[in-house]
Amino acid sequence: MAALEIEHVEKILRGGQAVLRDVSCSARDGELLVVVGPSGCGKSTLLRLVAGLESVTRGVIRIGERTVNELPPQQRDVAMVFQNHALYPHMTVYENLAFGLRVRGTPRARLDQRVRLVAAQLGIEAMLKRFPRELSGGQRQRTALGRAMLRNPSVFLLDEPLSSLDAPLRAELRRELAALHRSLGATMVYVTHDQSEALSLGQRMVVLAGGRVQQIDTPAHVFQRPANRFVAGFVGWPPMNFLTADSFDDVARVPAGQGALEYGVRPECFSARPGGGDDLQLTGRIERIESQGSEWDLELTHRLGRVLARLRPERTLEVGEQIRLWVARGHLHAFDLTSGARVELKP
Amino acid sequence: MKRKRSTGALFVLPALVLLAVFVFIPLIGVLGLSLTDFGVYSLADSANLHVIGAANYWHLLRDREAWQALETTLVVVVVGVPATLFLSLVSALMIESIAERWRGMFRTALFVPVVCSTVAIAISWRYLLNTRFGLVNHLLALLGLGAPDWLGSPHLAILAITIVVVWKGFGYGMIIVSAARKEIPDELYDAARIEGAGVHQRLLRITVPMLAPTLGLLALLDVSGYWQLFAEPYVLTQGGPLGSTTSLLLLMYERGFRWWRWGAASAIAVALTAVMWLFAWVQRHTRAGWRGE
Amino acid sequence: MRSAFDRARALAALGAAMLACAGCTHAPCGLTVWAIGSEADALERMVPGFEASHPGSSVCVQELAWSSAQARLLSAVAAGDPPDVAQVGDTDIAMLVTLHALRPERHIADDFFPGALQVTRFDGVSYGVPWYVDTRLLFYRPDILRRAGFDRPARTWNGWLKQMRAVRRILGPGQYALLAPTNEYEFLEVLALQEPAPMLRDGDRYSNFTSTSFQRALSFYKSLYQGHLAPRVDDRQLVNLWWEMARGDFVFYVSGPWNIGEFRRFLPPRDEDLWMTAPMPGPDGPGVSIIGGSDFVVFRASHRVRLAREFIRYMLADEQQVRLYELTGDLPARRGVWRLPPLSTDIKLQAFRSQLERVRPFEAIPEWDEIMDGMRRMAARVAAGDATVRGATARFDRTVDGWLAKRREFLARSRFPAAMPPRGDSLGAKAR
Repeated sequence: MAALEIEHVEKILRGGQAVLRDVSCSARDGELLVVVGPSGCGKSTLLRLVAGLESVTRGVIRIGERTVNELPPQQRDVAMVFQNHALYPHMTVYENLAFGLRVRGTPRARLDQRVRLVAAQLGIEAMLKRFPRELSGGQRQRTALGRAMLRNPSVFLLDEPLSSLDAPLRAELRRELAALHRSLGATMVYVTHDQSEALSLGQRMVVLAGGRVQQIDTPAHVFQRPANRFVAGFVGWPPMNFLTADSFDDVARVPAGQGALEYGVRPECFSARPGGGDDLQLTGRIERIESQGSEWDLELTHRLGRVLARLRPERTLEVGEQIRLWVARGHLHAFDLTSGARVELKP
Repeated sequence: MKRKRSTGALFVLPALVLLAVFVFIPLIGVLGLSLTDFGVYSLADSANLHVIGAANYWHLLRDREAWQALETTLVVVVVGVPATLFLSLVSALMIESIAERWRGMFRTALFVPVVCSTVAIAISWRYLLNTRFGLVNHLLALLGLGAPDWLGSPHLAILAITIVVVWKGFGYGMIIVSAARKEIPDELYDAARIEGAGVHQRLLRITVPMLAPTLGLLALLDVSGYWQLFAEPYVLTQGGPLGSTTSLLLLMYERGFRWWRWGAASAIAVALTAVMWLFAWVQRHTRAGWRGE
Repeated sequence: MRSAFDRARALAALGAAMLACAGCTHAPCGLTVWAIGSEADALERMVPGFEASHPGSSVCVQELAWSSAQARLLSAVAAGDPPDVAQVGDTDIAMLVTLHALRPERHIADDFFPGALQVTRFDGVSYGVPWYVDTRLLFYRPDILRRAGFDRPARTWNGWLKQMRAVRRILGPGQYALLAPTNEYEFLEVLALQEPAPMLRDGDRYSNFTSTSFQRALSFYKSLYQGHLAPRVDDRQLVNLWWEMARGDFVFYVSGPWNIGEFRRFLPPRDEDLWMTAPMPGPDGPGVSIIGGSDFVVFRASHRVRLAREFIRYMLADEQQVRLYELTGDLPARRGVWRLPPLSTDIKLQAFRSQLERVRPFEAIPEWDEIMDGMRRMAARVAAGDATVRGATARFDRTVDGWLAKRREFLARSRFPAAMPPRGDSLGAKAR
């Protein structure tokens, strides 16, 4: 096991297009670091740079004590799990698992022992003689994981490993993966475009957009104190509402910082009744009501636009009705209107 | 369910009728003819037509020329098919490594023989292989090698035929292999690189096995194509020298359409077909477990 | 039995109908004539003259390829839809006669070369009219022969052998005294016909290749190759044999009349004196050669017999025979035409004129082509040293007897009795 350090890494394609700009982040030894971002943000490229499948334009990548920039993939002591599993279709599960050790010339007995051990760990012993096309989605995923585990690499690189599975299976495997991470104590870099996966899985998460790091922090901090307007809008579901001071009923009471601001309110932070004297008010007309079970998603039009609120109403609401909502000041996020950076509000 | 089945049958019907008229009925006709001594005299007077049972086949078994033709055909199949597959594979992989803008040119150049008329190709090769003035022997002379009599010596003539057949045929395989190669996901190679497989291991453990179903199909096509070897020896050597390049099909053609011994020629046709079916059957049942996804 | 035959006929008819449809877009023809290769072109040029001299007649000429002509004729006959008139290579007549497809011919002229007439005759009845003739003889290099000390080619095998050996001594490496391509059977056929015994016996019912006559011919043939007087090459292996001959790569070349035109086409006029023609030498005196060429036949199924005969008569008139020679180089089948220029004046044609008087017809049976092709293959083995003369001929005898089994059966039950007359010998004997 080893730590992974990425320092000031840039990747510029031959055509001059920059995929990654000055990316720095690190995964401590044994940490599960999640890299999250919308598609095209460069997160897969980052993983491929670490794996050695592509070379960095500038910057340094270190695994443990070694700088691996110039090393070919097989010498970096990493393993990778691919989005579509990348299982070899012409090999059985056993052969898929054994591939890495076999091409390195590991003795047969040791190889066999390793394969069976890992298969047992993942619960796929019964599948060893099958071909990938004869497996279910979950079994394929486990096989792909097993293939990565077999060589006991320093760093696991997981590229959207669950995205090809359906929702219930994804949740199940996410839990298994977390448990596996704990039991292996391995350093893992987990790339996903799904912010909820990132929130639930990571010890720390890196939010990547436009080839730049937006924020690195624990999921709770990222959620509670998004570093900028992008992170605020990207992390959390349903997404945060962005409002101007004018949106609120009592403009004068909205706390102000320096310069022009934009305010963010998460849908679930609205309340249908006042919580305290400092709460801000917002009035709107209900355009749409959607039940989420115990909660309701309301889409309102207010003076300046639309807003989504998630409430637990005490009475029946109807479309077309005017409704007043309250927001506690503490739930208000503020961002600089031009730079998008977070602005701390004075209480 | 029942209705669906009959609708399906309706769609298959035109193809079946065509097959019946152009394949099955003639095939049965040939099978029938092979049991008779049908020839010019039978056409003159039907009293001269006899059902002679398996006599044509017995004659075939004791016919030196037929055995020689079988040997010739087998040599072309056994040497030519692996050579074609190998060249198809190697050229497909090599063309991939050529810079993009030259790729089309090379691919076209290697594919041209496939679409050229066999007769034109055979005539060109006749000049290339000419003992005294041919380019091939000129090049051999530059290398300080002798000037073999390519089309005049029995052993070399069959080799020359095989070379021409392979040269004409491998471009097709190259295109097919190229297409199949593009179907292999890049991720597999990425995974293999990370797992520690070098260039050769990736080739032998990923590329070749992944192409195996395609190569198997090409092998079947090539075997059935080369088994029906005809035009190249017909134009290049007329079956000579000393009958060394007379293929089974050429022998059948001569007996059926030059000497009008339709019964005997039909027996060769039936034997050819039977061996081909046997091969297809064996090929089908020995295919490895993986057949692609 | 009957029904199987009918079905085969029906199938053949279907095939022929499909083939025929490809060319059936023409206006209705007064007379349909099938001709082959360059003769078809020549015929087409001569048709307007015929139509002008026979008002109201119209002639359609359809061109066949030499490689498929026999097959086309056979399927047309099997389908019951042959043309009115066809050009038929003279080895193919026997097949059509066997099928009762041809109408017996009337007298058209008195001066055909007798050999040409004889191969159209079956059981005393003629089924074709010789149109042009063809034979094989020597092309040679007079200058090299003179350098070796000879004025003209020898007339006997021994004399010829002596000349070839003498010539061989003054040739360079890679040069040969004789070119006789191994993919042609005609040279050996000529040698065999020069010997007294025929190649088939008992009314062409059995093979006779083990006769001492044939063995002598084959031994002579073998000695030419084994003695390195002639290269064992196929003429397709030669790039430009006329040019090679002019270079002195070959001194003698056994070939046919079309090569007069070819030599003149490929060599410049100043090289005209580099080559000459001479009749074949024989075992012990001027030798016979083969007779070849094409005949006009009229099909039994034709309803336009009168017009067909008019057409043939027109094409055999002096003027058209000369015209044919000019268009194709085909030699006129009528002796009378040879008295007219350019046939009478071309010095290189004179050897052909005299050789055509000294020919021995082949055995006109349907199997003849196959037998000759088999003989060529057998002889190639002997010439290559893969088989002995005795062993090869014995084996070949058995093979040919097998091929002739159907013929024996056919003759035994045939409506036209023990058909073909004993042939050849009378003429051959006369020539000798």
